[in-house]
Amino acid sequence: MNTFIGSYIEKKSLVHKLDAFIKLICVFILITAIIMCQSIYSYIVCILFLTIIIHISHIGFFNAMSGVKHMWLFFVMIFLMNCFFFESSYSLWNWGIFHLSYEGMIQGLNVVLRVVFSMIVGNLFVSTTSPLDIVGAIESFIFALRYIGVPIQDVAIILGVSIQFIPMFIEETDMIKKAQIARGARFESKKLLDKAKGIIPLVIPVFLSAFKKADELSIAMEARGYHRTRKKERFHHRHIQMIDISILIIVIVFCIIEMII
Amino acid sequence: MSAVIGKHISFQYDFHINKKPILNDISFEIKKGEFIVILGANGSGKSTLVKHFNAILPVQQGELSLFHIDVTNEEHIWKLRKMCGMVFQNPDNQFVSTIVEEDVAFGLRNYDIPEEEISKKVKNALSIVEMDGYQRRSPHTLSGGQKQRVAMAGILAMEPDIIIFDEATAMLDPRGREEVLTYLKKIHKIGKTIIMITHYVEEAVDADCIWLMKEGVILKKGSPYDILTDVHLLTQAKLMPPLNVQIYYDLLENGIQLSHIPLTNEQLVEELCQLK
Repeated sequence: MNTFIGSYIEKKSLVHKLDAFIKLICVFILITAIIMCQSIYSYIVCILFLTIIIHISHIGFFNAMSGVKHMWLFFVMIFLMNCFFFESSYSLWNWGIFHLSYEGMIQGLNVVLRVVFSMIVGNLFVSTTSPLDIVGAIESFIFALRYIGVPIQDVAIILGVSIQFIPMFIEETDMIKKAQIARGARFESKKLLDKAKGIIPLVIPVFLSAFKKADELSIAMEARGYHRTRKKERFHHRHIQMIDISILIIVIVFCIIEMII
Repeated sequence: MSAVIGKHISFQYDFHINKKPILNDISFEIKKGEFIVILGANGSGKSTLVKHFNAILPVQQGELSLFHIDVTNEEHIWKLRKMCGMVFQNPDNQFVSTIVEEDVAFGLRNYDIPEEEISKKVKNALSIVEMDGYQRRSPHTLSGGQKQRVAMAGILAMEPDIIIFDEATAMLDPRGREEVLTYLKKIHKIGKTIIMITHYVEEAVDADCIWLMKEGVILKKGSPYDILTDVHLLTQAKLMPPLNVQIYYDLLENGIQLSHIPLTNEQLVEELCQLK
């Protein structure tokens, strides 16, 4: 099944069964571990660990990578910027402000790999956790912020609904794009100016549609009793089990290994 | 027993440049268990009127009560919204979750219903609209009719006394419309008060009472036969009469007189068979 980033994929796997709050903590620990990756060995361990998670989550390698392939241009840009602008004592090649260095290439590769791995971790979380569980987890995570007046339930539901709407907006943008192409818009043109001109008639209907959707959804939510003035318990009471704790410990151990190597 | 009583209700939106009232001194009464269809062209004030019932829009002028509970009293807002559910036009814009059962449970969680009860109510609501096997599916993978059935289940789970269908069939194909109407009738049979807004006149044939609206006023209230066979009145409200009624008048123009004006296909067939 082809999925967009942000889609929940229904499977009966160990990762799906884990408590969303614990999973969210694991996401932060994993991203921290990924950021600390420096050596080739740490990346190998990281790749192995992520492969195992993808395998036991049953969502498939392609779905875990969804979103990454759409951003290839961004990754190329990051890599090239690091290659040519990284300050190094020894340059392989110089031309004006550009200094190609070995350290720059390593740094570029480091940054790209870290972003890609972090995206995979985020995608794994969203693909294996239902939106309401995500809302509940975020709510639990930012629970303490309520003491300084942050409306945590609203923040959590906004994030949850936003995640859910991502695939819908991608579909809608694609639909509007095709409609505009049928009327002569030049998205396929290689000229930058034509491309820029083409984006304007795309952005306006997408935004209008987003506002309309937001308005209708807010009315529908209100009609079903969603409100912020009422005092209520958190959406989900946590039922943390031994397996959740075990997985958390494994992730912490992984993080420590990454720090050591 | 009266489910809804409205007296002299008027309303106008702040952002309307000409400040023309959307609702103009409307009074009505809906009995418990009744099936009301509100017919009218776009901009006639149908949706604006029903959005007052669960306090989505505030009552600016007049009085409105649901089961003798004053809608204008802010303390009752959440109670009223539980009593009066609403199914909207676009099913995609009603879903807050990508899992059917979680979406159906959304309203219940807002009312702090215990989790054990929630799962029972969700199961029951899904079985009423015959979506039992779809609990773990994503609503976005369903057909239009199925999506609306899930939206209906989301409302049914809250066990409201009144259910409003705000043009709930407008974005569906004929099969989807048929699906929604079938379950709407089923829900009516289990004792719920139904208020349905539509501009498809054919959908109003099974109503207990039709309200015909135009420019913020109710032109006429009456039985489906009274309203749907009055071509002049429907034209005045910028609506077309049902196809069967049009056929009756076309036959009449050609010198063929049927004994009654048919509203449904079955009635038309029966009338035509009598001609033999």
